[in-house]
Amino acid sequence: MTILASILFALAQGDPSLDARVSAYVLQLRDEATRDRARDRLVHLGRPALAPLEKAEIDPAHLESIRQEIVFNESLGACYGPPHLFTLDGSEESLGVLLSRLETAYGSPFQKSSLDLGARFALKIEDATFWETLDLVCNKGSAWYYPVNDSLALSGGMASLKPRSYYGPIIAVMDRVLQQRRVTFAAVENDFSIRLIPAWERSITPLGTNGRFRVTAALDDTGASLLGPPKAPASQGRSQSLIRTPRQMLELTGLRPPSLQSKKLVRVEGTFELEFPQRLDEVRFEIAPEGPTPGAVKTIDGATVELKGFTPPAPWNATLSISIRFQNPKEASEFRIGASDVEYLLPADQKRIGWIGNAKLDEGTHFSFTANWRSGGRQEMPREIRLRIPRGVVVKQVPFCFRDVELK
Amino acid sequence: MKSVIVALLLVAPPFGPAQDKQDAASERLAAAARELESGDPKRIYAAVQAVAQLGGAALPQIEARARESKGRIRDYFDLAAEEIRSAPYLPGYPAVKRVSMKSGDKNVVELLADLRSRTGVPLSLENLLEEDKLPEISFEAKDATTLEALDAVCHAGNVMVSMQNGQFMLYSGSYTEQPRFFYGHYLLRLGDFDLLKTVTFRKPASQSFNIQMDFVWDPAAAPLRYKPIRVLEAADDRGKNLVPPPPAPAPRKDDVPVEEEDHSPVLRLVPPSPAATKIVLLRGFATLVLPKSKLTAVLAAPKAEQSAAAGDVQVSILGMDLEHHELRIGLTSKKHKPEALAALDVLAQVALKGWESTATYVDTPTWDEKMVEVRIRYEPMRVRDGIPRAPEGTPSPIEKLEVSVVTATQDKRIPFEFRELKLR
Repeated sequence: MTILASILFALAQGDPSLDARVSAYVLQLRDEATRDRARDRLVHLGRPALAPLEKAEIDPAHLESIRQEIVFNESLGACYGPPHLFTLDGSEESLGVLLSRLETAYGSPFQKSSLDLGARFALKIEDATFWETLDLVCNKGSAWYYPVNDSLALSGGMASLKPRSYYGPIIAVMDRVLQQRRVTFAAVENDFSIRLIPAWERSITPLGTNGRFRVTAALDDTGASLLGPPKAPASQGRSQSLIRTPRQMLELTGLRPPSLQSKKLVRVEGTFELEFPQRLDEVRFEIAPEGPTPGAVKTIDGATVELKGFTPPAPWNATLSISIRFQNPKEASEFRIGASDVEYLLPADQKRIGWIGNAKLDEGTHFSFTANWRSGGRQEMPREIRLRIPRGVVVKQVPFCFRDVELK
Repeated sequence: MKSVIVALLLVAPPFGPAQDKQDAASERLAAAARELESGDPKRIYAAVQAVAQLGGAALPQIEARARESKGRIRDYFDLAAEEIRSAPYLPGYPAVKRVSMKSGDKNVVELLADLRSRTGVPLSLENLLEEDKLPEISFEAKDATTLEALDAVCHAGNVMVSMQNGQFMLYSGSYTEQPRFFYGHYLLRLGDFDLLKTVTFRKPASQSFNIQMDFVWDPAAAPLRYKPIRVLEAADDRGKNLVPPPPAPAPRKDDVPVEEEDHSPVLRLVPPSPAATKIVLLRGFATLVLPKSKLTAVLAAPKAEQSAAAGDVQVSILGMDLEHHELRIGLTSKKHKPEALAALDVLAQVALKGWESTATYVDTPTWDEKMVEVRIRYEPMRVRDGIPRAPEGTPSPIEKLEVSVVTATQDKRIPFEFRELKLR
């Protein structure tokens, strides 16, 4: 039963749509082809889905794991949430209209080049996530994009053939597979690595990936397992830099090479770690419409945040200077600022991020940094600055699963 | 006692006594021709060098043999003929010295010092003197070239030889068994074999197969640089030809020569078949660029602003930084504009008071409308023991600076041939 049919049936029965959706996904859990996606949707329906789920006929182990994941996701607070979902009924629409819907959900316009925005096509999807929908639209519209967490740029030409794995508001794109055999005369070394590029919707605000991962299954089409001998997880020393620069790439290393006869990887499955702040405070400063913004101080639990200045040296860029005085020196020493922690709000409620110029820690508790605003070529200034002050780290295991990856 | 017997036998063609030179040359050529078909690279290239030693008088016969031969035998004769033809253009090219050594009670440092005294090859043993007790090695080398003997001693004593700024560097305890090929003053070694397959999902998966190669040479026959390596034959044990197609001519800017001073050249081959276990043959050559003629200026006890002439080139000292072992010199010429002068190779040799030698390195020159500026860096070398020297850290005065401007160069092909290289 499709979700749409299930919902129509449920409406006819007078049941709330959530129950109908849960029922439909529970049915899909029984089919291996739809299981992962159905579980993903159930998890991201959140706590309201638990009551109908508990009434459904579902493996208790499945139910428990979904419940744990829902509870964990809730613990991440505002930093994590469900994906934007799209349902298209198969009516013909232009590429421009479809993309504008996606842009609205994304919260920022896409950069577009060489796209035929007037091209029309019909898409039929039910409860597809933002990334699933974007990929489908790009596929139909012969467009591709590089998965990033800042500003998406779409280019016309041809759709990307890179394998994808979706999890709620997160996508992992398999960018590259590398097989290396090295004869060093002392030994023969075989390396096999897979590069993933994770990206996420702007509605969630993780700190970034930390490079750790766990591959639980990796099989080629001859049935050979690519899993290497278990290794102790690499220790992730904290970066000395006070500026947090999230990794864009994730290299899955330590795998055995596929067998000589193999043509594809039938399954690569595992999890990678995505870090979220344990605690997140938001501080807002209004910006003077013209000229330098005078200093201002805001207090949050355990710290004082001061806007030292926001001085536009030119109409389309400006330097922001912020000082944070922590009460706890440990919090100060562990604090890192990232570009995504400084959001500039424009008059039309658009958000933009700039970059961090420099950061320093004085006297053990006094963290200060400068950030730069860039307008993207338009002569406009933000009306407000939103600062995220993330403290502590919580790790979320994000699952990925790739099937039938051609090695040609 | 560590017992390692290393015997290097140069397999010479069976030269017999002959009544006249013509017959002797013919006989030696015939004997060498048989060696060329032996399939053993060591014997083949010993024969090539033996043919080359027949000299100009035998050139017509060698050329005739080359015309009659096919494939790789023809290449061998061509190489020998080329050696003979190029000899007059390399007047300063040193003859290959051969050495025989036998010892049962010397350690590696003593053996290397012995080799240094017999051949005059500048070997700095400083790195090896830190070992408290070195074992005695049983060693024998017969009629070996300097590099063959050096490599054999290093093998026996577990010492690695590498080249730095055109000089030998020796490191204890790190000799690596690598495929190696000796040819006169040169040693070519193969490093890692690297087979890489990349799937990007955008275009068909790409495969590359690269073999690292490095050169070691007797500093007396140091090349100015070398040109890209050419592979003539390469095949795996499944019969797959590994010779890559010739590269498409790339557009070049400003006639910049393609050759670059790259001290870790890479052999780029077609990837072997998946089931291949070895490369049965890998043959090719490297083209070295050697100085053919040069103008040399000698500055005794040089000091700032001192100058001397090298032919029509005026060499003047712009600056001296003895503490950091660095000199800046200016080159001017009434005959050549700075741009043309900067295109010529510059060689330098610094001699320090209290030091017998230095490893001297000349940076790529810069020029303006008035002159060419060259930075010379040098590193004192201890190639003789027992010389009183200034304490560590005290800059030594320069006794002599020699600066040569290379006015003509000569290419010299150095072959290599490897067989049965294991891939698994």
